[in-house]
Amino acid sequence: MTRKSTNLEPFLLAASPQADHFEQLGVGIYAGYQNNSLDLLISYVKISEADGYGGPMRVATAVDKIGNVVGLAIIEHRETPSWYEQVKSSGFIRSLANKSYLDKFELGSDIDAISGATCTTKALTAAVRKGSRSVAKRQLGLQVPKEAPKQIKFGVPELVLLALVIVWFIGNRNQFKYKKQVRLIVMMTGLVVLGFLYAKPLTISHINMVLLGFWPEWQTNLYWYMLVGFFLFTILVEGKNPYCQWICPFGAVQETLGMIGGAKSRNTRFQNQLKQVQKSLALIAIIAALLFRNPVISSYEIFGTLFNLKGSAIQFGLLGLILIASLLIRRPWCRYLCPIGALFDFLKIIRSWIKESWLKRKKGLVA
Amino acid sequence: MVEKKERAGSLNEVMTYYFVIIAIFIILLDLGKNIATEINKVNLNTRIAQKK
Repeated sequence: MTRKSTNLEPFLLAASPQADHFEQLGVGIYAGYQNNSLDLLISYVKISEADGYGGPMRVATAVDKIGNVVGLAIIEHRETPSWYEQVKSSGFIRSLANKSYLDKFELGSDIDAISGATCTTKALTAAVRKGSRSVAKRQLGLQVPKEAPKQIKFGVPELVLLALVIVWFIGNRNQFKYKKQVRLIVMMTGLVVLGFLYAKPLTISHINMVLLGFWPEWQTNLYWYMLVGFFLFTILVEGKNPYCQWICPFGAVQETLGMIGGAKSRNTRFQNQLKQVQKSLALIAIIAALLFRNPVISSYEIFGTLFNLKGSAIQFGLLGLILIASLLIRRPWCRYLCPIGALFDFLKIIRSWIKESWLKRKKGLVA
Repeated sequence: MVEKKERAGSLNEVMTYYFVIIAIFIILLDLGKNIATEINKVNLNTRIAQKK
């Protein structure tokens, strides 16, 4: 699991299968030889890293003596299992294996992207680009193309999220007359843009990433920071959870179905016990992610299954059950299962502890 | 009238219990599957390291 325990040899062999002997030249760089002879150098293998969906992805890139990528192997990843399998079976990895260090390595330009698995394909491409150019520059002494300066990515999802937060801030004021109507507009915009168009809802893996310290590069992941920052800030400072009630696209789907089916929001006799079950599920998810150092391992939400139409048979089964239940019970996922809702309760408790102890301290100081 | 309302309420309640139980079962199945995959990955790395 950890870097120390990972034996790299199988990955070096997978990246450069023609080599039968490897010699370490430096940190993360190996030379591959044929016929156990140090004269028959056939490739260099560079271990490089890039930010994937759930954290850093480590890739071994084999480069021949003229700077062409001859093979690659993924050493470590934290991608959603079903999406990772899709990338693996799509031939995407093979398409990278014929690139030269001089290529642009740009999704949508010289490399075909895979819809729905953009983060995984971006990370793979970036790791192979870094690996091949590092070998070309340091081992082969070639002139490599200059890395373009990192540009801040501020597109439609970032803009829409910012607009929705501002509208929530204005519309949520008690004296605001059209609160109900504004909430409905915000919810539907969230559903269309952050749900069906960009599939970017907040999931437990975002929170797991914060806890594990896998903070992605801010320039290209501004949306991630905005979403997590907004959620944590409003809960810890304002004590409110506008995300679930106003913005969450999956909440909007359930509410829409509830309107169609006439769903009821009546509490059951064992409401408190059901809430405890929801909290326990969230706790299991967080502990599992921390234990295995993999933020996406315990992300049991089915948002991606609905908005990207990707997932396992189990996830599609769960999605079907929730959509049917939403016709009869108001927001069943949010009320009984969602880990984000449970996390809100946890954070609320922490907030009140901090507030109480601060007030006590203040009183003590005054006395 | 009161009886009818109570019955409707209890039907909704029973439905909620069924929904939550089935959903939790599916979620735990999914979580278990992911954790088993991760454990297998760790075991594989350990076996490779031991062989060496």
